[in-house]
Amino acid sequence: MKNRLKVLRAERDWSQAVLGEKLDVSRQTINAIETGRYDPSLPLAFKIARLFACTIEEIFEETEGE
Amino acid sequence: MTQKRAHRRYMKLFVPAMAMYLLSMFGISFAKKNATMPEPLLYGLAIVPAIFILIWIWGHMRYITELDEYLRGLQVRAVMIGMAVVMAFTTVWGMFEELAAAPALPIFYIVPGFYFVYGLAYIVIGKRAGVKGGYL
Repeated sequence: MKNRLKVLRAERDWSQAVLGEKLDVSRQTINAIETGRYDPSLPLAFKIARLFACTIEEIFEETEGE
Repeated sequence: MTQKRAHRRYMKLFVPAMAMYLLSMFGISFAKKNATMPEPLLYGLAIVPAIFILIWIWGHMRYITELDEYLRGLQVRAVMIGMAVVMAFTTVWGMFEELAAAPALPIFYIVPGFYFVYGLAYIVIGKRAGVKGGYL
């Protein structure tokens, strides 16, 4: 799954650690989501969407074959 | 709960439980060699290290549930690898003992063996996942 998390975070000038704190997850988790190594659970995806005032679809995009 | 706080809580339980486990293991073998004790007392003493193992595992379970979903997944994978290696090894060795008269191994090595494999697995998994130490 592709996502715009890195772009959204950069727009706000937040580090991965800062975003992790806001979402109550580790920096490693943010890194794994941004690099596409991990797809977040639905509750975490909603939390991310709420934080950036977007819908889940505006942040996460399904890639072919998923 | 933050990951750091979860890790601190785990270490606060892990360090004393591990120390007491080792102390009780050495204490029991020292007492057995140096003192004559009735059999029921030896059976009673044999339970002591298991109590600290259960405390330690309970702490580990609590730690895993307190981590965030990604780190929890890494921990579960490492635990599964530890279990798989220990179960496979003990099954194979058990068959060796049964079929090929291989020497009997002391089964209390299963716990340190499991934690050794789990630790190694977590280091490898963590490194591949970009988790540098800290959350073992």
